[in-house]
Amino acid sequence: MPPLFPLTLSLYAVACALYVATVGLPQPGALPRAARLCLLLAFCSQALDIGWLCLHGQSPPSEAREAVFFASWLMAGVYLLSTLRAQLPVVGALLLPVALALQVVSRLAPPEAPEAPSGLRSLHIFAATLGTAVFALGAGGSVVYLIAERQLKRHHFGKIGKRGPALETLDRLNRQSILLGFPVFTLALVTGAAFLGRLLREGLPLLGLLLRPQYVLAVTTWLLFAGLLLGRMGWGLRGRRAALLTLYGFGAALAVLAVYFLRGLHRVSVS
Amino acid sequence: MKLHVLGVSHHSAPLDVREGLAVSGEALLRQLQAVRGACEEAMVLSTCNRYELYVAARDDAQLEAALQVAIGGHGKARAHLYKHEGERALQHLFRVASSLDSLVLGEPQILGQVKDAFEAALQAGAVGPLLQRTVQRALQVAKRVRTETRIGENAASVASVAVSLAGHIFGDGGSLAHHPVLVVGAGKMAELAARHLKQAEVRELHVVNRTRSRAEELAAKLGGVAHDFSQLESLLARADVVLCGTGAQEPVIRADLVQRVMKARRGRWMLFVDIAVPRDVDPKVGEIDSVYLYDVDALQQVVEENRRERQREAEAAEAIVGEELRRFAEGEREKGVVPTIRSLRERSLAMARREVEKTLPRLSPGASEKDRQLFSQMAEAIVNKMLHGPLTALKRDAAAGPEAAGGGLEQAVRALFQLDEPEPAEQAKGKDSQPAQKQQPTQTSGGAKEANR
Repeated sequence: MPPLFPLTLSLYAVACALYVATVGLPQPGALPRAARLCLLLAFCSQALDIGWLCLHGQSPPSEAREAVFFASWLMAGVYLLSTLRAQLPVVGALLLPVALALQVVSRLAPPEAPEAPSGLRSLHIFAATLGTAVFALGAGGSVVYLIAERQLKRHHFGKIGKRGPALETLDRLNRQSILLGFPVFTLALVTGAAFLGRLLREGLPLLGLLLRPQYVLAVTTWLLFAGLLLGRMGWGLRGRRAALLTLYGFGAALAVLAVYFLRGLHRVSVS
Repeated sequence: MKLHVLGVSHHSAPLDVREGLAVSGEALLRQLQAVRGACEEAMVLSTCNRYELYVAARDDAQLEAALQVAIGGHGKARAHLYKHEGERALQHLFRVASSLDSLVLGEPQILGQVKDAFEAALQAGAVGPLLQRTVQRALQVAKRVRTETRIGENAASVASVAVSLAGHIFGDGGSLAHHPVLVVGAGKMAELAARHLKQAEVRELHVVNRTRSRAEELAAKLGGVAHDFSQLESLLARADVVLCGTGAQEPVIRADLVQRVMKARRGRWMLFVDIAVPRDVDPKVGEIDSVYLYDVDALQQVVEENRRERQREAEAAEAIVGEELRRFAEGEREKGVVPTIRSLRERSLAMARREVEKTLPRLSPGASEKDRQLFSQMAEAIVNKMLHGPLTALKRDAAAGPEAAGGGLEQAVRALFQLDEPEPAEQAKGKDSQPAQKQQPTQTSGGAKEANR
């Protein structure tokens, strides 16, 4: 376990609590700033942990659980970056518990036999996790959008409807995250395809490879986001439908991570 | 001298009485000057929901004179008049400025109206130290209430709900500067609601009505553009907020029309505010994606919910007003003992100085000016240290008020130190002059002895 992990986890938990309190309390006062500072400290602490893990041969490309750990770090980082443009504590209150859960799951998993990370593999893992992290931001915004939209339609406002950002702001967040995340995820898919080529050369059957769940899910993710992007640019797709598509796409991207993670666990149990 | 408030408001008087008393502009200044002539200080707060006269008066005669000048010609108003004085008047002012006494709880206009009333009183030369302190403090309290509670955050009228809803959809902090508004209908209701909407910085406003001339009339009043009813579809495609208030018996805006419009808008959000009864907008419009429809019932539901929220916040605001009132009253009572404190200190210091003057020549006949200063400083320091405890107790006792245990300390101090009796410096002078004269020969003999040596 990385040396700062207990501290990192505690800081993330406090940041989560502060973001939830920011949304829930009628007078948040200095809480949003405190939450942001706490998250920044947690992010730095996790960065040191990741550095320590890399030095000990447990880099994100070498093990699935480290890739999940890395993805959670990127999620926090992407959210922190987004707060430079707009303060959306309600998105943080939704996103950070997901990042926290990913960290816990990754650290609870037993270590695998690390694979030697090549440049291509490193690029693939980096692009896939970064793409997923950016989509996570869009998905967080989409959840808030759907809740706020429902409250507006029903003429009854809860805390999110009253204090959350405007629908247009959330939709803009969604559009920007897809615009940024899609090229990164495409890079992950292309580098993944290069791996596939290598496996084909090793003599594995094409159909068998193509039907592997992680590849099917990765392509599904890409298709969903490609459709969303096209719809947004070509047909003015936005609002509720765009938010739903983002959630489906993010769900598929998370499932890819989950498949790799479970495969790693399976390998450990077999060995 | 106490602060008094005499007035009528929506709580106590019907509209015709309030209308009769309403005063503004030059008439207000003239009234203030006239009232000022009858009392010490005066301020008139005249809004659509209240007429209040804040007066600093020495006695009931002054108060009655001020009231006679202000509402003399409106005998009917006297029956609806409420009167508060002292801390009750202060509490009333704090509550009014904090919008806790307003018809729409938490409405923001009252703060500006109190400021304007104070400015007018200043202009008329009717403000003295009491009003200066109390009104300034009331404005501070109102700002604190706005900052520390959410009393003003939930829209409490139909028009402000519409603006707030637009804020939930489009952002921009509730400003409609970048969102075109379409008013469908040119009746009284539509006009009233549109006037309120205009306050949200609307830059582009279109009016459409079956009778073009009435649309033009309303557009001219609101600073918008009038259109033929046939242009409704293209105007809907342009407007982000649509306010409907026609007298039509059938829906004017149907779901199929909005479906077409949404295609042209490429799914961009739309808010329909339908204040007409019977409804102008087909209820099915609300089911269309990215379209939000609020009819009278829905608006009323939001208004009620917000009012309840404001009521909850009002409890916190009342606590702030109570706390500020207590602090202010303590400060005022502390100020009340200032003459006693000043008199006690001055008398004690004068006594100390006299003793220094008397003793120093005996102690050191050739004392320099520096020695004299040192002795004086020492004597003053002793007096200050001696008085520190009693004066602190006196201030604390005054701040606690007459009901507090040990109250009446001021009277005790005045009696103990004989502060109400003639300046003892004069008595002391008479007494001191004798020993000084007696000392003279001693000094002379001392000096002669010195010379003989």
